[in-house]
Parts: sequence; C-alpha cells; structure tokens
Amino acid sequence: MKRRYHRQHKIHLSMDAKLCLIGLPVVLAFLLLYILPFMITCWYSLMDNRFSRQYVGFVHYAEIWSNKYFQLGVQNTILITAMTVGCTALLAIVLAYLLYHNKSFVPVCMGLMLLPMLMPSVSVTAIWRVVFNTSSFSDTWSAYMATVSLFIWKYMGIATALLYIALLDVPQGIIDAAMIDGAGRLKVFLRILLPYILGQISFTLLVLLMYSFQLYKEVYLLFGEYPCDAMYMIQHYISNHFSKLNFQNVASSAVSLTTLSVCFYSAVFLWMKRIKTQKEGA
Amino acid sequence: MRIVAKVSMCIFITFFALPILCMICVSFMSVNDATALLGGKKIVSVALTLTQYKEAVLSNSFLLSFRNSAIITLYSLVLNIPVSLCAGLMLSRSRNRWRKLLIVLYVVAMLLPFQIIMLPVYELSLWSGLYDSYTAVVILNAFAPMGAVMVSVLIGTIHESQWEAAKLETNSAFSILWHILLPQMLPGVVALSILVFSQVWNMVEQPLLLIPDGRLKPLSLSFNDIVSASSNYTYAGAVLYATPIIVLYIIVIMLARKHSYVFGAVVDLM
Repeated sequence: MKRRYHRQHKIHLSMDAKLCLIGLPVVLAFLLLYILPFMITCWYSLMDNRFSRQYVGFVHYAEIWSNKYFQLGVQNTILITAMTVGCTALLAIVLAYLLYHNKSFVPVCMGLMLLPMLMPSVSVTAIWRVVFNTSSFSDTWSAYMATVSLFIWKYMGIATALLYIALLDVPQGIIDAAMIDGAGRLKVFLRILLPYILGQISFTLLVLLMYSFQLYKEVYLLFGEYPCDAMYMIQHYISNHFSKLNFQNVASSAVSLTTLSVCFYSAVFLWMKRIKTQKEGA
Repeated sequence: MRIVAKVSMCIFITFFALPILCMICVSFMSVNDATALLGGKKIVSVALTLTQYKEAVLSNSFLLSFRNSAIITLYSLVLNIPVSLCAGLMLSRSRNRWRKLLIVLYVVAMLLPFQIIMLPVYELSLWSGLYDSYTAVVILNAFAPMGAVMVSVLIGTIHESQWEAAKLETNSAFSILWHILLPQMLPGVVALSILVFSQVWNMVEQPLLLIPDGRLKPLSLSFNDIVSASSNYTYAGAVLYATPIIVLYIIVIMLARKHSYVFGAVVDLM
C-alpha cells in the first residue's frame, strides 16, 4: 500500500524535459570539445600573446595575410578545392546518368563505388605514392594528378549514389511526353533530368566540399610535412607554425581557413536555397 | 550508342576496383618487384610469395600500432553510437527553443576542418592531464558531431505521428527509442557504425596532435614511419590494415542484398 502511494507522488517530468535531460550531458560535452575551442581560437587570434593576453585587434591577421607562404596556402587551397570538387561532380553526373540507363550495372557499381571512401588513407596512399612517385620534390603536374585522382577515386562513389537516387525520382511521365514530342536523349538530359536534380546536385557539392576540406590528411600522407609548392595548403601552414609554437599565427590562420570554407559553403548553400525557392515558385 | 555506354561503364568499374586489386596482388610479391611494377618499370618474371605477410605479422611495431588502432577505434565506436542516439533524439524531437541553434552548431562543427579547433583542444588535453593517452582521442571521437546529425536525420525520416502515439502509451523516452525508433532505423545505425568505424580507424590529425608517444600511436599515423624504417612489408601491411574495413563493408553489402532497404539508408547516410 505504501509503495503504491509513493509511486503516485513521483515527480512526473514532461517528455520534453526528459529529452533535454538525456541530451544535456552529451550536448554539453560536444560544446566543450568542439564549439568552445573554436571560440577560444577566435579569441586567441586577437590577442598579443598567450601570456600577456592583451587585445591587439587584427595585427596577426595583417601579418599572416602578408606572408608569402600563407598566400601560397590560400591560393592552393582554393585551387585544389575547386579542382577536386568540380572534377568529381562532373564525372559523378556522367556516371549517374550512365547508371540510370544501364540499370543492370547498378548492384556491381554501387558495391564497388562506396568502398573507396571507407578505405584507410594510409593503405591507399601506399599505392598512390609509388604510382605517382610523389615526394616533396614532385613537379606541379604530377602532384595535381595524384591528388585529384585520389579524391575522385575516393568520393566519386558517394556523389554518384546521391545523384543516381535523385534521377530515379524524376517522374517517367515527363520524359515519355518529351520523347513523344521528339526530344532526343541529350535534350531530355539537358532540359528535364538536369534541372530536376539541380537541388540534389547542390547538396552533393556540399558533401564533396566537406570531404575536400579533409583532403589535407591524404596530402600529408602523400607529400609529407613539407610538400612541393603546388600542394602547400593552409593546413600545412597551420601545423608547421603549431610545431614552431607560434600559437597566434596558428589561431589567426585557423580563423582565416574557417572564413574561407564558410565562403565556399555559403556560396553552395545560397545556390541551394535559390533552387528551392524557384522550384516552389514554379 | 549502347556499346559506348557499356564500355564507359566498364572503364568506371575498373577505375574503382583497380587500386584495391593492385594492392592485394602486389602484397603477394616481394617489395622490390611490387615497387618496380607499380612504378611502371618492366619486370621479367614475378614470383608470388608470402614473405611480406610473414614480415608484417612478425614485426613488433606493426602489431603494436595495429593493436592501438583497434583499441582506440572500438572504444570510440562503443561510446559514439549511444552518444549520437541521445543527442540525435534530442535534436530531432525536443521542442526546446535552443534546438535550432544546436542543430546549426552541430552541422557547422561537422563541416569545418579539424585544424580550427586544434590549438585549444591541445591545451584542453594538457590541462586535463589526458595528453598523450588513448583517452584524449577516444573522448574527442565519442562526442564527434557527425553521428548526432545523422541520427537526427534518420529520426526525421520516421513520421512524427508515431512519436505522438507512443507518447500516449509510455512516458519513457528510452522505451520509445528502443521499441519504436531503433528497429526502424537499424539499417541506418549499422551504416553509421561502419562510417564511424572507418573514420576513427583512418584518423590522422587527432593522434598527430594528441599522441606524441610512438608506442601509443595508431597505425593510421605510424604506418609511414614503420614502413620507411623497414620497408619489406609495405603492401601486405596496407592490405592487413584495410582488412577490417573491407570485411565490415562486405557484411553490410550482404545485409543490404538480403534486406534491400538497408542500401537506401547506407547511401542516405554517407
């Protein structure tokens, strides 16, 4: 009897409060490990040095942006990102279209395509290093070949899968109608399929951008800590200055890298938004 | 036209399969032959041997690093999945007014490169005394934002009316998660696990920053050093290191063929 009495008077939390209680510790740990460090980085980049902690404004930014190697890093990062993402997206569109018309290949191709992105970089770069003979002294052309082909091999699969699934969603009726009206395959592709999957293409670009900002790992494994000029990215600058304990440079270049990647992301994101509103308007 | 399409399909398939096949073939030769073959030099005859595998299995530094990798990856995976489920549940179903902001923060943290938080994470690990230990890397991976974002996407695909109906039956969020949501998103969670596994198995930057001690380094980091010190099992080492990933992937693919819906979830997630 007594027990039942107690149970009735237990505090009843609403479901929402319970969810917050479950999520709270996890979210706090996430904020502590990922968001707080980011804010600290921003704060560091505006300070004189770690010990005096005086606000100096954008002195460090002016310093690194006038540095020759940092400029090289920015230039290369933009170039490598644009090249890898662009090539992969184009090839993925082609392959997705081919798959769309040759559905018998889908099981084999999908099975093989998604494995590369899971493969450990060390194993893969062991092959790439020998085939492309990469080192700190590689010439520009072969360095680009090695990096871009590695990126395409790794991430084209996922891009193709995303686009292929979008292609399957295109209503067959529209295509049939266009075919009856005399549209060729090319016209159907350019006028119907491509506009229809534009939203998914922009999402794919977003995913590819995310992976291309992780490309530093492979470049590091291929070319080492001090790569040839063509492969010197902002991340190299950051880690070299980190090992020299130039923490202010590390912080300000990290914030610059963030700004750069946010620029890329928001360009794609705005494009995505525009496509969405156009689709809703139509 | 059809033939052109088929030929180009075959080219694409070879392109995807070739590096992995090369790696496996080359691991059964002696390292000198293998390097010459990959470098495009002509070889007269190739002898197949298991010497590379023998060397790799007998090498202490290789085995030690392999063990480190296994420990870090298993702990990270075991912690990351429940953590992601909790965070994902809150992100997708709570009506808290901070929810939107949190989702944005999670996505942003997922998208940005690791170098951005490198310096404070280093100082945090020094301050907490976890520097130079597995724990630092494991904790960092356990709370990685990717899992939470993906779980919240997965829960988002399940219709909200189920959640409302379940709420009338029980007041326990865990039992709703366990009995209603989890069975429906199991394929997705399997896909997420293999993705997290491969990411942790493959990480370079975090241990590079947090584990300077050579004896604690995972193989993803120390492989190049080990191999350049004694390069008589490079390719077998590469194959051995990729084996867990390949085996897991094949299991998932088999599952996907049995239950065709797994595949969609796998693709949605990656």
